[in-house]
Amino acid sequence: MSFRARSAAITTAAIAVIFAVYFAWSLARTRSTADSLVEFVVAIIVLTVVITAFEIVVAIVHRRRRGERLADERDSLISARSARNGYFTLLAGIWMTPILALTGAPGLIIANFTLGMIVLAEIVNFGSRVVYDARGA
Amino acid sequence: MKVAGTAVTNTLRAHRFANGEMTQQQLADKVGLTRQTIIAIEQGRYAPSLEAAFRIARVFGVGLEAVFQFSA
Repeated sequence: MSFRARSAAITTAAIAVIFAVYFAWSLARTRSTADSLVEFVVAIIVLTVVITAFEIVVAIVHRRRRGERLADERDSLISARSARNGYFTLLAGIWMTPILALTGAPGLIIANFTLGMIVLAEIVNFGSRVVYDARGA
Repeated sequence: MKVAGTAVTNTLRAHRFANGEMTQQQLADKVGLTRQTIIAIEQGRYAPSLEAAFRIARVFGVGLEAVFQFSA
């Protein structure tokens, strides 16, 4: 697996696991939007630390492979197609949010739904990079 | 896993071996691509841009169609 695919795989897994815990915790226990905001900030901090740590490990593992960390035309194509997939996911979420609001859902649910779609869009974006790298762009 | 193929086939591997068993990394360095992209081209998972295809053919000192063929 290339440096970029490995990096994308780690990011995908980290986002999925950390936000799965966040949503499970937030939806089961949180009583207010303020509580959810604090939990969200904690999730972002944990995500940043975990991704940074794994990126350092991946960079050390790939340190001997010259030029692999530089992007070429295939990397740019994979990146563009993955961003497109993430964008469509995000767009679907943006359209569903006002529909959810019209059903009279509480603010906490709407906020978490919107956040969930942003997280899903990122998972689709980084996950697509892994798939395209393995299957071909 | 099913590989998404391309209609562009190539004889990259044969040309590398015919040119002093050039490694994928050496070829990648000469044409300004990553080794992963050279691997993807050889396996038919990626069709390079026209510019990259010309650069690869130039490294081997042959014409474009000696390295890349359109098989659709």
